[in-house]
Amino acid sequence: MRKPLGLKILDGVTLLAFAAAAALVFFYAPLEAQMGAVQKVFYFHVAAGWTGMLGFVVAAVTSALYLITRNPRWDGFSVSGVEIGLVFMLINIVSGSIWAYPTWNTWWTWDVRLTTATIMELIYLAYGLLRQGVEDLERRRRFAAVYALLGFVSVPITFVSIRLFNSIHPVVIGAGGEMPTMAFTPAMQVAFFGSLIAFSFIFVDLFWHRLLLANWAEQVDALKARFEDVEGGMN
Amino acid sequence: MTTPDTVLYMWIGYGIILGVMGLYVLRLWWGTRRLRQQEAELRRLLAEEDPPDSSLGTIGRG
Amino acid sequence: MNRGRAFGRAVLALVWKDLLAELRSLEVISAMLVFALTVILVFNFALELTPRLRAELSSGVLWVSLAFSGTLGLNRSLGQEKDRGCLDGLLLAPVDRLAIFFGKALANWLFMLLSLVILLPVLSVLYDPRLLQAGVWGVALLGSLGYVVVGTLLASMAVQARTRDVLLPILLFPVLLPALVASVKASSGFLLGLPGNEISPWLMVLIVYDLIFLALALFVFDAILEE
Repeated sequence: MRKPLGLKILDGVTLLAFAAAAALVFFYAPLEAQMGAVQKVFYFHVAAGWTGMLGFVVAAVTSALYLITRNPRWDGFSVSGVEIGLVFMLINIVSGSIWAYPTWNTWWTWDVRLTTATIMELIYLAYGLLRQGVEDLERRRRFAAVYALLGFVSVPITFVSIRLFNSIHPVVIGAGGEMPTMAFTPAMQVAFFGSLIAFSFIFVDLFWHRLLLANWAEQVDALKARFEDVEGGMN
Repeated sequence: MTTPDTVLYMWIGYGIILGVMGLYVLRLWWGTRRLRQQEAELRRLLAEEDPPDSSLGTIGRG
Repeated sequence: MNRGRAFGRAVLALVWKDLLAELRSLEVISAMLVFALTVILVFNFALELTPRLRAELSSGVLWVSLAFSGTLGLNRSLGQEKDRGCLDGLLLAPVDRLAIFFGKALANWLFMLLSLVILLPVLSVLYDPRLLQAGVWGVALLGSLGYVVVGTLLASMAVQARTRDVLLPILLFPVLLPALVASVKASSGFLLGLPGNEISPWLMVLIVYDLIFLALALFVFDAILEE
């Protein structure tokens, strides 16, 4: 299977965007006075969380589409979305933990945001186990789609958790009311939105790659089935 | 107020972010490689078992 | 109208079938009860509870033992159907799929409430006498409803999988957590005699959870009970 030209171009653009975002973070954004250099983790921490949630949203939408249309192509979309979501939520959780250590003086607290994010990760890990546990291909797709929809409830919960409950986690997007918010200088905002844009490119690029892989795996499976047919015919 | 010295944690943080992303790219590359090998192997076996001119006529012939 | 009545009759027939089978064997409820009591005992020793702590933790212990023993009941109730081929028979019968799902969920809810009727008094003797109050029963009703809706959906998938015995808790608990947390918070609110405005948010969470998953169940049950 050859790589489409569009994807090659996107690979290049993504690398450039990523390099630009890293440059903004390290050389353009100022040092935060209270937290010091570790605050710079914040830019990619939030961007990874954004990418991860994007993956889960895509997975939920395409799972619903699969249940409605029963077109296997949507299952490939869901798998890709969940996998990328898992990777980036892991990055989000671990990088948050590292940021927390010098700032909150602990690697982990049972704060709502941390807890809901971890549960979300667990749900999508369970999604993977469910897929492994069901052998019949069509049934696997159906069950996975159902579980992706049920599990998706955790995503909005995670997103709004810091607004609903008392959380020590800062509110980043929108006004936080009386919650802890981050004081942004304009330069910080540039680095922040730069990271978000760069990670959005990374998401689309990785998603495309993963989707090609899923479709290709399907072709190879079909080939395998044909081979087994031929074998069966010989015996 | 002095800015605390947390450069080490910044590097650990970015090391992990880039590390996990790198691992995922590696996983995609590895998956591609494995599929390519599988496909080549299957095509070879299929060609052996089943000459291209009679690709549909094998079943029931043996 | 007529269709609605046929639907209701099908659901009731299914619940009745499950209840009769259960009355004869007591397989599901006995497994749930014994396991729940074991969990309660284990908690007592594992946490080295003092009388004061025991009273404070009682709602947590109640819900954890209920959640754990519930998976046993769900696996059993749907595993039976699968093993005896009843599920296939039911699916072939000219019954609305939705009726099958609701019948199964309702039967599971009844089993859960029946085991609660025994469990709650026992727990109130062992842990905290305040557990026997209307508020806690109300929370139990709402919480177990959400539990059986999600649980019946997930258990019907899990019993059709190769890894069925391990799969259900893994699938169920993370999805269940909001309901579990809200149930624990609400019932300990009642235990501590908190004012109503501190308990009602958690009751709202429970109601919203139940409604969301009932709605989702309407959308997805068809895909699970297919074949």
